[in-house]
Amino acid sequence: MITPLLSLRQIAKSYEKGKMILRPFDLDINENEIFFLLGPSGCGKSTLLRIIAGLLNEDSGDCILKGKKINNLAPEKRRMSMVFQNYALWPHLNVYENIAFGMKMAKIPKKEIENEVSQLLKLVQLEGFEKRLTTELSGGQQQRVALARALAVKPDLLLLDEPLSNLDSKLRDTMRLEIRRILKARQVSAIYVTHDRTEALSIADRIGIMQDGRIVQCGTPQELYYRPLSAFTAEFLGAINFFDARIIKKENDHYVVQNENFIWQAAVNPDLNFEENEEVTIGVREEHISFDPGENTNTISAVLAEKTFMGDHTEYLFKANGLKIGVRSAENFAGELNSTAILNIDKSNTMVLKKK
Amino acid sequence: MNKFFKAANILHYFSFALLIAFLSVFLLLPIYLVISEGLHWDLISEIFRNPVTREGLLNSLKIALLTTFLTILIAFPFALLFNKYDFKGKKAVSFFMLLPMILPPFVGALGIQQFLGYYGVVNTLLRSFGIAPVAFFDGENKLLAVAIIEALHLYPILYLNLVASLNSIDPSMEEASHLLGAGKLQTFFKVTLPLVKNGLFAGCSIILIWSFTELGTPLMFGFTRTTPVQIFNGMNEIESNPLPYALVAVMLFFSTILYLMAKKMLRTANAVTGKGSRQSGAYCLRGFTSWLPFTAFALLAIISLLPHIMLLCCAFSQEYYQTLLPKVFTLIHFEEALSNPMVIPSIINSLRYALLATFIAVILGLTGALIQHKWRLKGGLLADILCMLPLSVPGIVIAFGYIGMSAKIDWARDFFNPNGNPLLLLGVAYAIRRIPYVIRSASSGLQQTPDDLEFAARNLGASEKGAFFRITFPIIGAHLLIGGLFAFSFSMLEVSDSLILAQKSAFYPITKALFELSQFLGNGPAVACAFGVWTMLFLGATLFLASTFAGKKSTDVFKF
Repeated sequence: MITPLLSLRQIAKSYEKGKMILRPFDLDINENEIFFLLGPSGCGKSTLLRIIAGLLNEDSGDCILKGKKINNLAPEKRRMSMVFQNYALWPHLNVYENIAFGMKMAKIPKKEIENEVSQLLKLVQLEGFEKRLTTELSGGQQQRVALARALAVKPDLLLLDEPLSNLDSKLRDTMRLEIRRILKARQVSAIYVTHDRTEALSIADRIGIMQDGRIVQCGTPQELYYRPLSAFTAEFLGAINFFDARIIKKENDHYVVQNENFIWQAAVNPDLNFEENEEVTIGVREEHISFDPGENTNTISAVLAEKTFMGDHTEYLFKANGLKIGVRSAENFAGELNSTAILNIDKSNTMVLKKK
Repeated sequence: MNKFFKAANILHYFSFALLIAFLSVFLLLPIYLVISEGLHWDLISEIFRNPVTREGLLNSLKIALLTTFLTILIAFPFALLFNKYDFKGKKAVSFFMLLPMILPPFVGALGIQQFLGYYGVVNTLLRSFGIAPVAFFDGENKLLAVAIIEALHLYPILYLNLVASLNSIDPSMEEASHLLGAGKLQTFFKVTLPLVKNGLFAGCSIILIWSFTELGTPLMFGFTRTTPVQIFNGMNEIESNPLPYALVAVMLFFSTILYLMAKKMLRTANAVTGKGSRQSGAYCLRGFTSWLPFTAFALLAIISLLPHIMLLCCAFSQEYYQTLLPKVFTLIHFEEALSNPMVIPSIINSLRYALLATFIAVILGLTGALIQHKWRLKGGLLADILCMLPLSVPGIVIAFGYIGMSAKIDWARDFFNPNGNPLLLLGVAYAIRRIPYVIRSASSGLQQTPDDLEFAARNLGASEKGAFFRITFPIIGAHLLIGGLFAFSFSMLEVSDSLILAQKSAFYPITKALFELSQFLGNGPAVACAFGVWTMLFLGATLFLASTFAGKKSTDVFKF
């Protein structure tokens, strides 16, 4: 069995008595893995990151790095580095000095430092910026310097605390790809905190979804997106329609579910088991609804209530006997408002979830 | 540009012109006069040839450097303590730290003489243990005593600047350093210290110039070998001996050098100060340890208030000689102070001078801030530089310049003549020195008030004037009030201008009356102490008001 790089065992934290920020849970992070902590604001993900970094003390539980307990180890001795949300670049030092700082602390020979800084600047595409003050750089450039500074010490684990949140959306798109490229090029293990699902889905090897101070589901982006275990996870990862229904029966690869508007077939998630007659929530992602009839599809007849053109796709709102159904499609629905459409959903994209 | 904007613009430039004219007459002209009269090679070389004046200059420099060093020693650890820890009583210590400023150090000197004098508390204690008494105020010790007294009075200025700088450091700057392998000391020297240079230099330069030019404290200790005291003593023969002009010019030269050096360092430091996004990085102390910082702050307050406590003891004691505590307590000195013909009028005089000075300083400071940060007029920087100039110009230079103007310039003779009623003269002199506090406070308020707030009001039908008075003015009002309160408090405490420009006893302000009373033989010092206690209470209340209103804004007042 491979020993995980970092193991968290029953870590808990509260700032005030009775108000838990982190509830006890276990988590393993593997070598060379980019792991995302994804969750809404206030769910405890930054607190967890700071506990891992040693900047905050946990109330209970163990933090184990490479098989060794590090609970009482000072931050500077943990061999972890961090990219902060606001980068925390020192304004009195230039780009070179910022990146070289950690290596100087480790008393690495000057020549080696120069080589390493030069390589890192090449990696983050900032060659020639050595002498610039960090205050003279754009947001994207500052972000890259922060990343280079954190990578320079060759950390066992790199921690990133919402590093893209201060950038505009276009730069964020570019930096998403950059960060994954750089981390993979250096074969770095990383924990990345964000509330942005696009960042998580596009960069992560694995994602841990956090809710109310604990991790509620862990998996690859595909696993979480297509096989969420809860309505919370499903909703957090993308626009989705929820319908109340009841399990009629379970067959080999699907459930038959029913409510007053439809009888549908829904995919079986091996991690979730439901009994006949159990009340459940059916989840259908908005982009999984099509206007074209297909084989093995569930259908529902609905009236078009709203239509919003978004450029690369169009968002529709349909209504059917009190149900509201959001649809997001690149196809154009030719009908006018109040016209009726047959909506088609592949049964493999019809998810059965625990009742909300 | 429509008619309205043209008219408004003319009004702005007219205000600008008035401000420049005022500062030219009451700030630049006296400086020019002092320089033109004093800057003669034979006079300057006489200062450096004459061992007495040379020693005076050297002593003043020594006092300034020592005082600044001592304030750093006191203020830095306490600013770090305040910034890095959350502890019990943290709110109260902000007021503690302003307390030493409730009395000018020269009045504190009266108290400290009782404490460290040859027959004072410490020597009584030493004698009781069979140890020979120490002459704390002899020879070189006198210089040390002046520096300690001034440091105990001035450290709040540096402390406030440092706290403001430390608060502006994002905690993640230090956390990043720790995570990259730097320990606490390395992080302090490589990250924290460079980032607080701004506050350190700002505070130090004010203290350096203040203590270099301080007249009252060395005068009270009879330490005549300092330049300010030599200037003060030379005033009587100014008509026949122009050496004091040269001394003032040399003092101004040194102050300007100190100011420019600090400014140069500040420019570098300004460029590197970050703005914190995650403010609270303070470590929360719990249990017994949560009271330790408060205890440390309280101890510092007690030590720095020792002169004030001794002043109280002297004021209430019938006999306080070779004993630890007064033998007999009495209220007689307070009665004597009340019945002294100098005391009540001096309080009224000081109130009049200080109120007039506050009014002038607020008007001029606000105008300067509006020119620079709101109207953004061409040449606005000039207004800002001129308004900040008094920080580098010692009070003694301005006071001496006024005396010179009354003697040398015909049209200025009546207004600047200190032998008449000096209400306007002292009001203006006090105000000039307080403009920097008000302009910093007002500028800080204006910078924190986005233009959009007024634009929104204009957009909803308010006139320019209406939008200013209904929106901007109430918002910056708190800042102005703080600047005004500090200007008022410091005007009440002003020493140099008061000692030089108030020549007739009927027009003495508090500080001059205190000085004169302390020089009386017999019960003079005790009556001065009783009077000092009243002053202390009154100014304590004013500063309490100022610090209550100010909160974090009090640091804006001392920005450089």
